Amino acid sequence: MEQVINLIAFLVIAIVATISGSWILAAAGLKTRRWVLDFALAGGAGLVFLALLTAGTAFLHLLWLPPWFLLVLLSGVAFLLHRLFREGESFSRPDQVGHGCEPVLDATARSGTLGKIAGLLLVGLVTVHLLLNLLAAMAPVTGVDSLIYHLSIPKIYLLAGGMTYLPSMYQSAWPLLIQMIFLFAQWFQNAEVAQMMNFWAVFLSCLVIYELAGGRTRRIFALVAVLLYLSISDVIYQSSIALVDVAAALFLLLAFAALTIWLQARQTTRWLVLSGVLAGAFAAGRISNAGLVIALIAALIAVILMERRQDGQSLPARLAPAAVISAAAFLVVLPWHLRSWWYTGNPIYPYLYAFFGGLNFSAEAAAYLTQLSFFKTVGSRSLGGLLTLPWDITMDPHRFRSGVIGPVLLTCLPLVAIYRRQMPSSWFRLAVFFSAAALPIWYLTYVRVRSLLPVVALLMVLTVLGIGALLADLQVAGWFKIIVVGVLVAWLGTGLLTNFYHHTSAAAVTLGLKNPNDYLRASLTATGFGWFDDFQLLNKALPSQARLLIWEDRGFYLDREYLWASGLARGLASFEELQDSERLVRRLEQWGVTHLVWGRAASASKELERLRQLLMEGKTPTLLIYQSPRLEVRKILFRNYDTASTSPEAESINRDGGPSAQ
Amino acid sequence: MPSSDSSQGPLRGWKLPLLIWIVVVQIVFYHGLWSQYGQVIVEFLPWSR
Repeated sequence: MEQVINLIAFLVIAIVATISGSWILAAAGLKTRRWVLDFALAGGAGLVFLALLTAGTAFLHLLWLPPWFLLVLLSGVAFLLHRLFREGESFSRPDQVGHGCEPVLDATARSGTLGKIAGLLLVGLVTVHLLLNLLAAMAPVTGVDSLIYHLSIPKIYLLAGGMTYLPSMYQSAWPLLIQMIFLFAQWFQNAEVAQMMNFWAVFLSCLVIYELAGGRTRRIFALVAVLLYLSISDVIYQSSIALVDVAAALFLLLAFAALTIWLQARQTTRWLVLSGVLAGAFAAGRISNAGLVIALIAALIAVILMERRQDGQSLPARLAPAAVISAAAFLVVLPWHLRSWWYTGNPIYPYLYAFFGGLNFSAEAAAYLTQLSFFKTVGSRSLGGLLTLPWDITMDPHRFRSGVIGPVLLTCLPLVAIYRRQMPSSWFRLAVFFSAAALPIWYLTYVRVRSLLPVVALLMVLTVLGIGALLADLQVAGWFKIIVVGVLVAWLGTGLLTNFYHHTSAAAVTLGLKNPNDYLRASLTATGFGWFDDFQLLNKALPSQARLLIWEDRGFYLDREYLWASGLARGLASFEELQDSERLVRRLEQWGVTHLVWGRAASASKELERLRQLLMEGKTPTLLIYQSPRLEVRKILFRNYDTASTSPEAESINRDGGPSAQ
Repeated sequence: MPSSDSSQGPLRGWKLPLLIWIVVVQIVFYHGLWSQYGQVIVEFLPWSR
């Protein structure tokens, strides 16, 4: 029953956001008359508007409002705009545009019987992928980073009634636009619905990819492009887990689509504004995402400069479209960096610490974090590394701490160069320039496949256009085409197997075939998180006002406010405080920490192990109130602690979560 | 131009290099995939459980 309610809650959010997005786009005259693309644009824009509205509400500490109020407000304002501007004709009529350029092949050509069977098969495969993704997204919340901060920070904001800087969690100063979608889902229903919003982002991405490819080649190849995207193991993983990258990828793909529409019609700057807003939403999903937005703007400039100059048009006038898109994107992402600067004194906290500094962080921790983000994967960058990137990322994705993108891209991308004369001109140029600019920027920043998903998706569309051109080439022998189709079939089969492998357990939970707690214990333990049951017990036993210092960053399953002990080691506590347990306890008292929760196994880092010794074994006045083979909990005895009124026995927690009977 | 290439379209002159490229990429990729996940795949198959 709970699953059905979650599904209904998800559908309500998705439908209201999409209808609101559709009304706002219609009011601005941004309709293509291609319903699949219009639906995807409305869905993506609706998510951005909902996220911005949620961010504003959280910033103003208005999370005590009922969540449905936001949906009513969003749809009400959208409806009003639609009525005012559509009927009043304040804007010009919707652009009568297609969605790009000439088809590379005859996109309207009728398929034979074999083609129809293949088409049905591909639709079936897409359906199976999406169904598995949805069922898995409906299962209880798992993951690593999602439990560390993507879901935890929104949960803490909800507990606190609004957006606030969390000094021990440096991620709370990052741009968090996509986490605002997760926040709204948790506010409206629960964290499972937040996972389902990622499924929705993947579904909408499929529509965009289908449209980007579909108008330029036969629909059957557009379905292949969609399947190639759905077979990327990072997409499979993220479609059911609350991470930010699939939603971010949707926003940049939509930004690209809006830009291609502008390139075709060039009658209104509103498509550029929409493209900029969506690109800004992408940049507000992760600090390093700004690099790909810069690549998109650079690609637009390159396309404009390559065109023949019209009479009397100055260079600034020609480059004005790039300025419009930049300004719109900047306006969306700027408030997040201002927030970071306001909280910490560093607009991109805690990066570039040597330049900006930053509150509650040390130079050593900043250097370590930068090293972790930029060098833990491929190490030092080199021109050779950049040139061999396509091979390396296909054959050895573990070096990039990433999943598998499959061999089709690397195998068939040369076809794009071979059949380049058949590719649609301005669209093709934009995609190629964007990819060419994005790859080096990505290589120099955050080298994970998940942060490159929009580019990978576009390259897959290009690859499919190349494959389509080859298969339509009457000069090429049948056996050669069969080999290329075989390459596709082998990988799409592997992709489906990957999805079954990743999602079978979670889907079984959703279908009631598996116990959710057993699933959670197994999934969480597999990622090194073995204290789910302990946390559940602490939720029952600890006072609701308890504030915890936890040694483990994955605090999502704790229903209490908490600070990360790792934050102390990173600079939240001074060097002197870290040497003296009494000084440290006085600092903890200032932060309102009442309990210490620490794992019994050796700590993950030297710094944490020192803290453990200092707090749990040192002179700290504490009272052991709970221990299991995995962790122990101590109550801090501050100076004003009244030992006469509370005996150690009365404070201890038994296995049922109540006071101990000893 | 390779003698086996009889096509006249854009693929002219590229068929043999492309064929070699396709075969090499598939062998290296699936060999790597099998080395990494082969045991997992075998255990995951229904008839192995």
